Amino acid sequence: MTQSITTSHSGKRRFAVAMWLLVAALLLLAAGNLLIGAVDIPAAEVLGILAGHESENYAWQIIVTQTRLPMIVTAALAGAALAVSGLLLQTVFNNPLADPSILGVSTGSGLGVAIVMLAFGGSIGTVFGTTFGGYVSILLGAMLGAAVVLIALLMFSMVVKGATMLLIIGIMVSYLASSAISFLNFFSTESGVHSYVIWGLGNFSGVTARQLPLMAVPLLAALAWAALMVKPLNAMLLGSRYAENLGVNLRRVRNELLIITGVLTAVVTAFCGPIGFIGLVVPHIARLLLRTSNHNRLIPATVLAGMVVALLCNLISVLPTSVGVMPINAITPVIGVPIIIYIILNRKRIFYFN
Amino acid sequence: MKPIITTHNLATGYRHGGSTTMVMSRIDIALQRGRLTALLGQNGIGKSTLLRTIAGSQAPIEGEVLLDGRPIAEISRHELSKLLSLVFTDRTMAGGLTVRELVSLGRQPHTGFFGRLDRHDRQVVQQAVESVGVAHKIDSFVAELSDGERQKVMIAKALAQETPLIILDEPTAFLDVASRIDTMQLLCRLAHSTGKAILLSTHDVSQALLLADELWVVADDHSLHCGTTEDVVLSGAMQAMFSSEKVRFNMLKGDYEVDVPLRGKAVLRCTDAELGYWLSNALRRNGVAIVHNSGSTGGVLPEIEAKSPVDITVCGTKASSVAQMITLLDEILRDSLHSSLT
Repeated sequence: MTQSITTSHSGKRRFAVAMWLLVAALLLLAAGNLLIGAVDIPAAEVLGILAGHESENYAWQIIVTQTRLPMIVTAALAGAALAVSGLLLQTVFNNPLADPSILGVSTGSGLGVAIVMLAFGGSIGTVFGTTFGGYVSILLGAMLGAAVVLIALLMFSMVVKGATMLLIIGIMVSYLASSAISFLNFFSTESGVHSYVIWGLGNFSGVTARQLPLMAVPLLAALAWAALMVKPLNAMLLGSRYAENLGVNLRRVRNELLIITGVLTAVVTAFCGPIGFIGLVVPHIARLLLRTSNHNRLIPATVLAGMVVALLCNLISVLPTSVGVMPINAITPVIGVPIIIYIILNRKRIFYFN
Repeated sequence: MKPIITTHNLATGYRHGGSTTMVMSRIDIALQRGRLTALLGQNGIGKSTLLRTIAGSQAPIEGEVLLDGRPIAEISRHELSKLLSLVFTDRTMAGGLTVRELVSLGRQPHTGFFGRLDRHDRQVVQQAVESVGVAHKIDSFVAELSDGERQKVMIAKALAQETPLIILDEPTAFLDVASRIDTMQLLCRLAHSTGKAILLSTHDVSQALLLADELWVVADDHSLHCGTTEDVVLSGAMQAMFSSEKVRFNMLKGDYEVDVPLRGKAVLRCTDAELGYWLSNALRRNGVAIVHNSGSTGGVLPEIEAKSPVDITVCGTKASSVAQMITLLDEILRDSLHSSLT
């Protein structure tokens, strides 16, 4: 990442330490996700399979390469995407509590997916459907839903000045989308409802190795684009009037940022379901860890921390239970809510709030 | 020297669809370089609208703003960011930046796509921080600063932008008295030492009269009175700022005061100027008009003779404080009122 602002030496050291810690945690959690699961596979076998050796147990081979590996990549990508999406929304709306699920972007994507899944439910299989067209239509539905909500929010943000009011509008928009989803559920087929409900619980294990590029390419592109926005993002920390005075083309930058967050949220939502809290919490974890609001360090740290949190949630979800994989959305609040409450209670002492 | 901003027959206001709301009209101003100019006026009279129009962020209803001789509407956003820097009192999310990082944001118009700072940029930032006097806080978080320091950091950001014009919208609004004076003095010094034109709006009349080279006073009827501070004051424009009959501009004190209903008169004899000033302040507040130096009042008016704050004689009775003087005077005035009624 390019250095857009001079950093004091202590800040640089802190950044280096934090990044190494995050990388270590990431590797550890990735290893955990490879080794732990419903099926007990010896660590040596897992390593062997990863190294490219044929395992004598063909099922193990399939589990590691076709299930666990894609799941880890999916979780890491989704975590990074949601976390960066939350960070961008917090800066764009000048609101530390903004995030794709609170502002209704995830629900908007969900509505898009619901329309595709339930309205055309017959033609689409279990969760995604089997045809390439099936994935693409779900993806497009999610993006369209996210775009509608983001445009509505942007228009409201021009009229409503207070950050809290905008959050409430986001929550209201979210309710509206939920109500539309309920209607769709009510009038749709049982199998459609079932697959939608399963999708709504959130999980990182629904993406196969073959589908992975379809998810990874737009996410990586959007993340790279976000990294190029460091300069205007930092200017926006001062608020829109200052940013404009510093030469930022606010309308264009805002639109670009909303497209980026829209893509990040919609793609993750389409493939993994509407996952809450990661977008809200991770930017705060990154800020507290680095002690900075400077995006040139915050974005890489948010990417890594997002991966770490998502992998942690995933690891908990695949811990051996009698009923199989737990829904991700049952786990994210358990991690997210205490952190958010801690931050709200301590906001007077947390440097970046003042 | 040529003024940095000129307008001719400018009208400010808002457009809502087809209708326009005019706020101020027939504005002819010339903003001078190297001077501190203060914009004064009541709340809601259109100060911020005027500042926004001058800064090019709001289109005028009529006329145009010329920045360095060029219509401001024709200057690109990027070029404008090198000509004019702004300071507001907006809440920011910048608490998690260090002072150095925040002031470095002022270099954005001069840096490339990634905003990388070169040696020169870093020097400019260092100088900006030093010239507003927060160099010792350069590695502190903005969140750790006092309100006054924070405002100075925003001024340093404006300096780092290296623009010939700085516009500040009520920069002292939320500051305590000491930081208010400090900030105004800083702006005055910067205008004189850097040759920049500095324009600020403020409600702090006394500081503006002390430190501003030029005044722009928006009168109660939305007319604008511009000129060198003393010329504007002596023209009587300060009285025109408020429509109220009760609020009066005191030309001797350079501040506004409220008329107190008159209860009586008194003669004040005092040679000490300071003591005399504060005694007349107490008398005025209590509705007592002072008749100066009348040798032959015929003993009708109460006489006050003051030698020191603890030696004041009111009609022959000793008072050892201003409080006692007021009590004595109250009794005398009540008696005289009583006797005049009977």
